This record gives sequence, C-alpha cells and structure tokens, in this order.
Amino acid sequence: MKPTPADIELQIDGRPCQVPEGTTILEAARRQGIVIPTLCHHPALSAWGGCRICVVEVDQAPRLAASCVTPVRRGMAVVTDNARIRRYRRTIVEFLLAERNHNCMFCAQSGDCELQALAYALGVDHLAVPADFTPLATDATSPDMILDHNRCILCGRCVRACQEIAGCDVLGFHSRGEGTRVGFDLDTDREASGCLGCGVCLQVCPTGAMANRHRSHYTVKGHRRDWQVKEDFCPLCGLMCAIVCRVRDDQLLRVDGCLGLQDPRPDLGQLCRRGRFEPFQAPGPRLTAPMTRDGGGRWRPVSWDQALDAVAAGLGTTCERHGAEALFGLASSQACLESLTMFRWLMTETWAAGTLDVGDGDLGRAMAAALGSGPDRWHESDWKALARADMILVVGGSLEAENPLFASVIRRRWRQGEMPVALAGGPPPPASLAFDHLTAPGGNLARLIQALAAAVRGAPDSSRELARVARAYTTAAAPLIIVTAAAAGPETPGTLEAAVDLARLRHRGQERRLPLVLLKPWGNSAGAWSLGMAAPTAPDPRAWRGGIVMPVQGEADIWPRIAGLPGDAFLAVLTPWMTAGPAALADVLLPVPSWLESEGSYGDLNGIEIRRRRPILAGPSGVPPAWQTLRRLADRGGRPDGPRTWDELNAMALAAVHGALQRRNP
Amino acid sequence: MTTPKLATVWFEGCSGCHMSLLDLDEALIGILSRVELTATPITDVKNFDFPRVDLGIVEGAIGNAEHLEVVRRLRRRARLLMALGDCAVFGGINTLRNGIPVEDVLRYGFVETCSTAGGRIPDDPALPALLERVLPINRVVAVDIHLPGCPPAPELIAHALGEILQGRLPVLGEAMIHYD
Ligand code: SF4
Ligand code: SF4
Ligand code: SF4
Ligand code: FES
Repeated sequence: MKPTPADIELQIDGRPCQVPEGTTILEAARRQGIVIPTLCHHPALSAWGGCRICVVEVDQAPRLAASCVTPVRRGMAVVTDNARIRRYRRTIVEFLLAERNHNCMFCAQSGDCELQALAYALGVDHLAVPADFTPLATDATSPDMILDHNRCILCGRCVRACQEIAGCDVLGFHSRGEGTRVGFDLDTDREASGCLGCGVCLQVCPTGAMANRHRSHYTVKGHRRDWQVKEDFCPLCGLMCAIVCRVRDDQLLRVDGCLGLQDPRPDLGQLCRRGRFEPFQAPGPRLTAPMTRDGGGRWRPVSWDQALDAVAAGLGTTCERHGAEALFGLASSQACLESLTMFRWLMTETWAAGTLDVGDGDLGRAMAAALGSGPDRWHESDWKALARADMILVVGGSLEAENPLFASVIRRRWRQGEMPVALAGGPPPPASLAFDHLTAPGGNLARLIQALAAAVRGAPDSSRELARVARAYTTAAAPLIIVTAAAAGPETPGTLEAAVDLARLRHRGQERRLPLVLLKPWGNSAGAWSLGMAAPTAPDPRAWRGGIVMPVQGEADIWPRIAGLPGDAFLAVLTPWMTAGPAALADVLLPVPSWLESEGSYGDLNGIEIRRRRPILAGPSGVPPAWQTLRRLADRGGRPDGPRTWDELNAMALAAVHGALQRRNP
Repeated sequence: MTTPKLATVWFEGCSGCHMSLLDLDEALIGILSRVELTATPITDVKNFDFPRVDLGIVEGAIGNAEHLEVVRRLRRRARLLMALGDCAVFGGINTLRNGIPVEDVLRYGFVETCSTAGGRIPDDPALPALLERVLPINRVVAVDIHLPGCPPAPELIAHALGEILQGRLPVLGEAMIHYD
C-alpha cells in the first residue's frame, strides 16, 4: 500500500513502518503487533502518561519516552524492549507494589489484575525497595463496589472514565504527594456522593482498588482458564447495551460493558448500574419445583402434571362459575416477545379471557392516547437521537432513577459543552450540574409544560427562566424532549399530552416523527405494546376471579397491578422466585428460568429494533422455558393447536410486531 | 562431595509453605536422599542452634524479637538463604497489623475478641516481644533466593531445590511467579 502523504515513516524494533501523523508510538507499535506494557493507558480513555510503564528508547536517547503520549516523528528509531527498559519497568512496578498494601492472597482482583500480571511478566519475585505498610481506608459504602485505597496505583483511569464515559465527574484526585487518593466529590464516601453507581470505574481499574462486591474473590471466581465469556445485550430497559459476561460453573461472575463502542449509539459502550449489578440480585429464594398449597395452606412441591392440572382446574372452575370475562392474564413487559406471544395465545385462544394486559399497560395506553392512532398518529423519536441532540428537556421524574444511562449520556454531553439541558419538574439537579430547572406551579406539571409551549409561541408574560428554556428549545437544531414514565403516569395528568403539543412545535415538514422520547419502565415495554399486549382499556382487578400472572423481575413489574384482586380469586404465578406477593396470594406456583437463563427477542425503547438474546446461564434443571410451560397449559385447556415450537412463536411474534409497525408507518 | 546440609525454620506464617514442601510427595524422597536435613519444624525438633548449612529455608515474616535473633543466626550459618512464600518474601497477611500500635494488637488479640472472657495480655518474661512492624526477611538479612506464593507451588519448590542442588541459583520465569 502506498503511504498517504500524511503518513510518517519510522522504525520500531528495527522494523520499518508507516503510520498517520499524530499516532502515538504505543499505537504504532500495537499496529505492528508489538506489545508494550501499559497501566494508566486505556484504549477507551484519553492518554495521560502518568505511570511510565510504557517507556521505550527513542534514537538511543538516555531519557526513555512514555510511548502512550509520545507522537511518532519522521525517521524515529524506537526500541520497545531491552535490559535497560525492562529494569526501568521492573523498578516502577516494585515501587507501585511497595507504595501501598498489595496482599494478593486476599485481594479480590488476584488472577485478574494488570499490575500483578505485569509484576509476574517482569520477574518481580521480591521487592528490593522497602514496602510502606501504612494501612489506608476502604470505602465499602456501596452495595456493589468497594474502593480499597490499599490497592490503588493512582493510574487515574477511574477518574478519566467517570468524566469521559460516565459523564459523572464525581471521581478526582485529592491531596498530593504520598497522600494522594482518588475520591468522590469533595472527598466523601461513594454513597454520600453524586456517584451514579454505574461501575465504569470498576471496569477500567487495572487493580483490585475498585472491586466488585459480587462473586469476585478468587476462591469463588476461580482461575481465568475456567471462565466462559459470553457476549450479548442487556434486556433491562430497552437500550440493549452490549454486555460481556463472565461465567464459571453456570454462575455469573461479572458483567462488563463494551467500552469504545461508537455511533450510532450515544453511550460509548457503557453500562448503567442496573445492567452491571442487577443480574447479581435475586429478589427472593429461587423456585425450582412447581408448588401448590396443602390443606393447611402451606406450600408443598408437586409434580409438573399435578401443578398444570391444578391450574387448568382452577381456571376451568372460574370460567364455569363466573364466565370467561372474569379470567385475566397479566404478564410482565420484561418478558421476551416469544413468551408474551404464547401467553397471549393461551389466555385469548384457550381461555377467551376477559382481560389480557401487561404490567405497564396503563403507560402503553397513555402513550397511544397521546400520540393518536391511525394514519395521523405521531411517532416518537429514535432514542439514539440522544447522540446528536443539541438541546435536552427532561419532563418530570428523575432521569437518574428511571434511566441512569440517559442521565449519564446527558451529563457527559452537557459537560463537554455540547448542549443545554433543562429539567421541567422532578428533583433539582446536583449542584455541579448547572441545568435549567423549572418547577411546576403547585405541582401541576402539565401546566408547566403548557406554559413552556406558550413561551415558545412567544407569550409575552413568560418568566425569565421559562423564556430562556423556550429560547434554547426554539433555537436548537435538534432538540429532544425526554418524558419520564413517572411524568406520564396518573399523578400528573395531561403532562404527556402537553409534552406532545410542545414537541409538535418543533416538528418539521411532512414527517410525523416528534422530537420526543418516552421512557418506559421495562426492557420490553415498547415491544410488548407493539405486540398488542396492552389491553385497550384499563381493566379493573376487582372484576377478576381467576387468572395467570407472569412477573419476571421479582414482582415490581406487575404486582402493584393486582392490588384489589378479590381474596378468593384463583391465581397461578409463573415466576423464577418465591417473593412475598406470590407467597401470600397465589394458589399455584410454576417455576420459570430467570432472564439470564432464557432466550428471547426484545424490542428496543422505541419498539422498532427487535433483537434476540441467548441464555447466559443454563439455570436449574427441570425448569423449562416459560413458553413451554404456557404451551402445556394450552394443551391442558384442550387446545393442542397453535404454535408448538420456539421458531413458530418467534415468527408469530415478529409478524405481529412488524404488522403493528406497518400499520403505524404505512 | 559431602552431602549438602539444609535447615528450615518458620516464623510468622501459617505453616502452609512447609505443607507445600511436604506436598512434593515422592519427589521429596529423592530430594531428602540427596541432602541432610539438620533442623526443621517438620520433625518437631526445635533446634535453633543451627550447624553450618548450605541452604537455610525461611517460612514466615519477622514479627518478634526471637524471629529476629533466629533469622540472623541462620543467616550467619547458611551459605544460601531462601525466603519461602509470601510472608517471608513480602510480609504477607501478617503485615495487616503494621500501622496498628502493638499494645492495641495485643489487647485486641488477648482481651477484646468476642470469644474471650477474662482475657489477659501474657507478660511472662520468657515470651519474645512483638516488633513494632512485621517485616519480610529481606528487610532484616540478605536473601539469596525468593520463592513467592501463598503457598508457593510444590513444583516451584522442586524446581528451585533442583537448581540449587545443581549449583545454580534458580531464576523464576513468568509462569512460575505467583503471589496467591
Ligand atoms: S491489586 Fe493486584 S497486585 Fe495488588 S494485591 Fe490485588 S491482585 Fe495483588
Ligand atoms: S482506583 Fe483503580 S483505576 Fe482508579 S486510580 Fe486507583 S488503580 Fe487506577
Ligand atoms: S441502560 Fe438499559 S440496557 Fe443499558 S445496561 Fe442499563 S438497563 Fe441495561
Ligand atoms: S501507560 Fe504510558 S505512562 Fe502509563
């Protein structure tokens, strides 16, 4: 290949090579397949040049150069490895080990630590310099992460990641010299700080200073050679972030993001707290066998046949006594499209149930009402517009609580000076974020948004704040309104409609797409609504006499919706866990795999991109996928026809979703 | 050539490194047939008045006055001194008490632990005094060979002893070094 004019020729370890101007020596060497060890350098972060592990010899100069921050020069002769370089590197590693307390034998990172690996590679069998041994503090205030200053080498990767990726900027260096520590905000505990808990600091930390509290000790995680690495996406909120999972003996050890991802996604391959740590939380004891109640009302395990018969009998009796109208099926919007499709077939075809709904059906209905229907329907913006938006308006609620990744991206882009951000209603932003914050008069969020729309239309009596936000919204090339699920709920009626009206003021041309995104509570909310799982009108649980519920995330996803269910109603629950709600109310419990253990398709936040994920774990034996159990219930209900395989369900689900999208966007 | 003489001691450690030595299994028989073991805690004969030896092996860190005295004596009598395991090489888990005043360490250990009732800090003058800080061997005497590991793998010990018996100082490659 002919070098382009801007290419620089140099020699690395005697090998001639050409790289574009501005490339660092480190990068140039890596392109040649030459490994230069690094510690403070991370490919997804800005270069820092702090640790000097990456030193190389340039033109035989007596002073070694840090290759991660030294750009190539024409005709340069670089040596990446010789006895002198190795001696330097070894001394640096010895100093790092001696400076703090590195007791690998009880460090969570041992076996997976870049400092340790480097020490091994450099033959550090003892320390020639005296170790300091001064014990330092450990911050274990977070339920997910530990910051152990005894292991910190002050490489600053966490600080840069917090700033450049998480957009949070809570981590920084405190004090100086020997006393230097990384710390949160103005030097407080992690939990007391503005830390969003996303764990990107933990992912980039090369040592055990940022340690995962979940299954990270090496007696649990074992040796690197025992790990399986599985890549997939996180199905928890509709953003479908890429995840890299480490698994050993069918046990999840760690979830990492795919740092360095670029457009069109706005998140740089980051994960939020939920994606990284929620997979380690079990909402209750694991259910591994079907259960029914004995005469005294106590739970006892039974065979699958007995349990399925009990469900068929319960629903059959309800139907005979109260009619099919009194039957209900309520599924979680966290379930995959295939399970939902089988669930729908079971409830509508087998039982002709009066009610079929999802846990967040109210929100789906509210959205459908606000955006209209038929050819005149309005459409949400693609959520990835967050990457290009130049003005953000958040309506109500707390972005940090509802979608921490959105919060993170918005903070980062705001800090980089890329766009103004305004919060309408909701909690005030932390002091370090000078977002505009509009408070709703008397808590009436809809009125606030209407007033903002009036200001956009040029109403003369708008307050200064309102006028400023209105101006930012009007002058931006690509504004984006983010409506939290809380704001679209019944506590603040009319807000979603007001937000849609406001969005229409910035709508262009013939397109019926609005600069507005609604946050949804569950990973497959939009997918489930596209599938038609939301009932057309709000059902009343007081009219229900028997049915099936299918929660996925413990019970938070649907349990609030069955409040008001008559005490004598028959209730079968498909759930991975025995949690308080099912334990108190159900008559039959059918175990299903957790989402980590199942395969399935999900729609993204807009319900448009459909992706299929594979199981990360095998899960307990004898617990078939939810769709199979639902299929057997359909058989028990006397309907052996309908979808019988996963592929049929998949095809049915995709056809239904695509059909719905077609009808919306002909 | 006379049979090489060997002495081993343990200080502040858990005896795991000596267990790892015993873990050499049948290889140990081969090694023992080529050396004379003059003193070792494995035999339960506490002979700290070492003869001159070719190799002194130390497990554990230096935590009290007796350790200090014994390691110095062993150093004087041994041609080569080997630090065996993380505690001897780096100080290991014992160094967790560094930075805590000795009186607090003793009071916690003998009086305040929740399993202790009516505890008392022993004060028999025959007991060696704790040092202010626990130290690795090379902070007290010169060390010729370091075998880190908690414990060091039997294969590593076999390799090192083999080299020494061949008259070479063992060099540990990347795959042989382990701190855990
Ligand atoms: S951070 Fe690394 S080098 Fe330090 S104790 Fe932990 S495993 Fe060892
Ligand atoms: S906590 Fe980890 S990433 Fe942060 S400075 Fe210390 S060693 Fe580096
Ligand atoms: S933002 Fe959503 S998809 Fe991404 S890690 Fe968090 S919960 Fe998972
Ligand atoms: S990796 Fe280059 S200075 Fe740290």
